[in-house]
Amino acid sequence: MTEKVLSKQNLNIFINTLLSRGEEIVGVKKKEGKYAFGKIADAEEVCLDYDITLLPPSMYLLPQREALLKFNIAERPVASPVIEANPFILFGVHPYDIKAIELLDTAFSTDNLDTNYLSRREAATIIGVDCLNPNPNAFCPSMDTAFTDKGYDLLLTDIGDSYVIAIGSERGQALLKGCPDTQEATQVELKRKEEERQKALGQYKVALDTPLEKLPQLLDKSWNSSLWEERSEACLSCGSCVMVCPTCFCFDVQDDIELDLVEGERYRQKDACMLVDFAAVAGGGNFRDDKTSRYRHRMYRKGKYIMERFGKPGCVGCGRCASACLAEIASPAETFNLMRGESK
Amino acid sequence: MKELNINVHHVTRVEGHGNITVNARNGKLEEIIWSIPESPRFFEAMFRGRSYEDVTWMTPRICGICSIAHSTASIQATEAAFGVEISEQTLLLRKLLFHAETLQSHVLHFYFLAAPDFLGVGSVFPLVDTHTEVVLRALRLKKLANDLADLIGGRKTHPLTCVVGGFAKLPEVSELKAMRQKLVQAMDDMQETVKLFKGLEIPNFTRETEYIALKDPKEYAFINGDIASTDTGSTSINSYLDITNEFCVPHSTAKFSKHNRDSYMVGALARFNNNARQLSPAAQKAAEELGLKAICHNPYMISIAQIVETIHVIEDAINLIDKLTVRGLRGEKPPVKVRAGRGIGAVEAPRGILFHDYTYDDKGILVNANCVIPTNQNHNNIQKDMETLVPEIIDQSQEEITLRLEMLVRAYDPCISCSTHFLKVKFTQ
Amino acid sequence: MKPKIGFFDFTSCEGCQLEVLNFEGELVELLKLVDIVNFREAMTEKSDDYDIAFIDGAITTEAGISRIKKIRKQAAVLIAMGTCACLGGINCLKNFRTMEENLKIVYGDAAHYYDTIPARPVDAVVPVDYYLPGCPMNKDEFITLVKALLLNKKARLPNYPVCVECKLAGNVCVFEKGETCLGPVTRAGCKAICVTSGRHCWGCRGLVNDPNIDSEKEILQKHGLTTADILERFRHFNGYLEVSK
Repeated sequence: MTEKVLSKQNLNIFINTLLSRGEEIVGVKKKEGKYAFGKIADAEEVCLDYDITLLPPSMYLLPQREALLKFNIAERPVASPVIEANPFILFGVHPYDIKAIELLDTAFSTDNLDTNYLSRREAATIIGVDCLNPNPNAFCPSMDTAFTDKGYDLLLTDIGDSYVIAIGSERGQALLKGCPDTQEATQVELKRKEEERQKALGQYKVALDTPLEKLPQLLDKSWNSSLWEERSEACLSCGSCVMVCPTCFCFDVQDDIELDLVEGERYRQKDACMLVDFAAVAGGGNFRDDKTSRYRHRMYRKGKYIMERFGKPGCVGCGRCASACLAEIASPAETFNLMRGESK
Repeated sequence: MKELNINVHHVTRVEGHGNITVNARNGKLEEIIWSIPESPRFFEAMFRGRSYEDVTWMTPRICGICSIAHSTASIQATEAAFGVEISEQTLLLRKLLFHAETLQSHVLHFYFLAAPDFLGVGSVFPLVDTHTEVVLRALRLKKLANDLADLIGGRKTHPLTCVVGGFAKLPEVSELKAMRQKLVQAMDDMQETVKLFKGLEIPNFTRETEYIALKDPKEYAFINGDIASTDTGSTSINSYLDITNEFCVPHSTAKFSKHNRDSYMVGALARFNNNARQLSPAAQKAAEELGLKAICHNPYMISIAQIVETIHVIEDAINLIDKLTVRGLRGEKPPVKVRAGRGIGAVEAPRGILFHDYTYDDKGILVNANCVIPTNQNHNNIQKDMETLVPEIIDQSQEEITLRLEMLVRAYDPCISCSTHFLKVKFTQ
Repeated sequence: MKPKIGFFDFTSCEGCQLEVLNFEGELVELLKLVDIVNFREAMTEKSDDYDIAFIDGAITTEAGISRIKKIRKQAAVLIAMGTCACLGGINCLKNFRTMEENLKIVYGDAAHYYDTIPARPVDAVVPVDYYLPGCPMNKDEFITLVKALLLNKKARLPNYPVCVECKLAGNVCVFEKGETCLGPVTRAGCKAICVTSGRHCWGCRGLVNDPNIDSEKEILQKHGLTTADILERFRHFNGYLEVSK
């Protein structure tokens, strides 16, 4: 498909047109010197030159807590599924987060179809934006997530006073029809886009020493490494790394009942392998009751298990975990590089 | 001849623990004691050696029911000590947050703690079945007050957002507007409240005393102004010690206060008696309807004064929100520079005037603290009221006298848990 | 038969009992499920026939010790409600001075003997079945616990730090703002309300079961606190615990 160009000013008009049409837009806004996804009320709020958001946009597809079914345990118990999915636009998603969403798509449609996730995914229109200003902890190029040519409906690239817009789907194309100010991108503009991308690639400060496809092998050899214990010594088991991760999709299912003790709901909420009780089971056992095994498990998820199961890496190199970790041990790249150094 | 042996151990439906002892033999009153067996908590000792930020955090914990008042008095004392000037926006928000607590506490008192006496039950709980509408209205008003505290202070009890110099988090204008709507609606519930209390029989008892409250020429004072007395006029809050004059009495375990007479009263009625003319129009109208006129000497009318104040506070909260929404809210970094010095903060807690008096060293570490709590100032007045009341009603049954005395204590809405770090404690059982 | 419940106050600000009266949305429903038979702050009647006892406040007097023992004997289930009851809370700050010194600071020369002993949590005196930590306690946890008791189900507190809920709340980390925080070792369940309101965590819900205190201390030091500062920080609410000594 051909690429379009839209001036920055006209993009704001486009956003406000969508809003006035009643579209729900979730986009990136400033928050205390950082950035966060949130509901947009006016185009003025939207930031597209951000480095990274505090929480990943995937939380709008897999909410922190969502009802799965409502039940009534009166004399004749009944239960009915709850599926909430209203159309919305996820605006300004970086390629690594798009790739993370692609992983969730695979995970939630492999074997059992997860209707809740997939309905919400279907309701989402994704407008991406290239990350030209990477977070210092990011290592996207190593994870092949710095750029993407799919997984979005539209993708913007900032080329100065305007955006080049790549169209990724019919839905994206239809959406753009409502924006009469777009022009065909010229060769010059496409060249500028390529230059901007190259410039961005030069800004990443962290890189993986191991080729991506070799990560599982590296980890295979590292199970007994003493580095796991050394690295995890300072781990607070605070879950920060996993709470901010765009690819973590584990959840726990619980029931909650109203005070009438009759009506209730079954819900799922985010859970994560770095938390002490994640692998606790009935009878008091815990498969990973020490921080070293939890720490190692997470790294195996990021570099091996998920890749082997779904064919996509379990880490997109966004660097959120490394930024969030007070003990400064969470970066998969740093950990894998240490393992690699040791295995040489 | 009349024999009385009243021993109310832990008066109920008050915050904290207080005991009433009355003994009469052969028709002669031998002993009336209002005493406090609350466990001392030593806040002044705990504050010592802590940074001003810690003090700000700890002070709400003096009392769950008036945590915002303690927090505000504490912050203002620290600001006075450091010479911190606050912005107009901070002042507006502080007043709004303060109103939230006056609302919370007054509604709790006149509906949950005082009203059951008038409706002939032991608590609000049975009223759920017999007076459902009343209870639902009380719960609505309480929720409104709590929602306001949540919005401005971050939560209902022990506020989070208020710090020395300003606010750590601001509400959204849209949230303020939604709150305004709810406040406007609450005026209907307050009209119903006035109707309900108008129909209740308030015990007729008067004893002239001195009434002390903050007074501000600009408005019905809650967090600003001088100390005013119905006997002696105004003085600066800096000379609060000349007003509170705490002293020990041999027959009681509590420290008492006195100023111009035997005792004085603080709280809603004291504020009303000093500042009635500054009440909002709707509040003045409610006062008239409820038969409350300054200067009122009947302590049982404290609950009525609280109702009148509640209406005032709702009206004023609406005005404050209007001012804030017109201005818009701006993030401000509180400008705080520590310096050695002493500062005094005075506010009108729901139960009356409250003083925090801090001395800091040049690192902002607290070296000395003194907190004078409203209930402490009222203890002596409660005692004197009892001494006057019991002979007047001594012909009634012991049960009736007991109830009247308990109702008297409850009318003062005492907040003993926060007053006790000043009280001498002895168990009387 | 509706279970009979009682609320009993010891040394505290009574804010946690007040929270119960703040259950505007739930109070009416709650009263259909339980009989409140003892609640001095809210009702005149008192009965010593109760099944479930909610304890507000720390134990700070000799008289308190005998009273809590009596309550424990009567109650089938005893619940520590709020930080004072669960951990001793802010009351334990006085434990770092001698009782004589405390008395002198507060009561001056007029001080003579008062019934005051070092503050302690309820479970330092009698066994506690359930805990509802927090200053003040958390309404949702209270309701969840009551429902669990009524349904004969287990109720558990989160065993992960405040960071989990703080991250999910989308907060900027306090440490990134140049301040310090006890969130990484403090038990969650508060939805990180303090950080969300622009402050930091003071540890009012106590520590998680297996906190990495060494790591937390190292982090606090790296962010500018001295060893003495760190102790003071923990002492705010956790003065009774080893970490504050």
